[in-house]
Amino acid sequence: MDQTEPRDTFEEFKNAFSYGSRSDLTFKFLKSFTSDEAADYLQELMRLAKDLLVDGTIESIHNHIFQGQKKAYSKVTNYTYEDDPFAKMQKPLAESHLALLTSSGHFVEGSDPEPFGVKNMTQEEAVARIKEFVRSEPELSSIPMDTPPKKLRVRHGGYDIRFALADNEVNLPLRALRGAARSGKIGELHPDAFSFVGACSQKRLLNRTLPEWVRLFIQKAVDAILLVPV
Amino acid sequence: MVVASGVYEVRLTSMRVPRLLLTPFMMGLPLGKPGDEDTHQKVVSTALSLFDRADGDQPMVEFFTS
Repeated sequence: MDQTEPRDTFEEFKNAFSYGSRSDLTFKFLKSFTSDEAADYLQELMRLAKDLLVDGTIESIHNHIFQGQKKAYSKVTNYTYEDDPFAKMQKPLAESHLALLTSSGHFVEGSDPEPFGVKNMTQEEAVARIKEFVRSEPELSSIPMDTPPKKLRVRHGGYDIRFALADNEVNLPLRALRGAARSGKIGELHPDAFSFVGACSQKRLLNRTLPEWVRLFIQKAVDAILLVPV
Repeated sequence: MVVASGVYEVRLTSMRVPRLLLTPFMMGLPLGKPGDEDTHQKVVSTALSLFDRADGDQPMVEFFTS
């Protein structure tokens, strides 16, 4: 190979973060930027990294990543909404039965939903099969609220799970909700939390899966849901 | 009640989600950074308070500030 030839053009480079050769789900949003936008973004990121040596805080870098992601997800989608799902609480939360539902892709060790029949699918495999995931119906995993962190597993091909691996509370707040229940904010905390892989067929989720889950929650006498989409 | 990263502000507000708490944390960590137990608790408490405060017939959106 000619050593003077670049492996990627800049366009190819910035697109490769989105399920390409340089896949990094924290920065997959670069694919939706023009080359100029991506160049400006990365230049600013480098400047902020340099500034770390002076003021030692990471907040500016965190915010820069946040703003990049927000810009990408602020673009117009194909979905339109004709009404809204507002439902009034029938009683105060302190008298209500609340359950937690997240799209984080958590499950308990030993209860792997085994997507596509695959045992012990790795995160890397989930990322590689993202197109299959977004065409498929999600499965709901039940997670006892007192599950110790070391018994939790997480796998989701749509976002960077490193933070959830370090601490499930970043998007599956079991401890924080138990704390809220102990302080009397919640009448009754459902003994199980629920999680699914949000990277799934949105049509099937809306038209089939979610209505089934709602019936399930009603059967379990759940009055309200704390939903944490990821 | 939805707790989500403010990354999704445009999409979630267009859905007119009934009770929405948007946080300043990036994708994957809507409740805050790993190990920041104090922030996780504050985000949950703020979210739970919206259940009773959003008692009108209009969606309520709040922004969590740490």
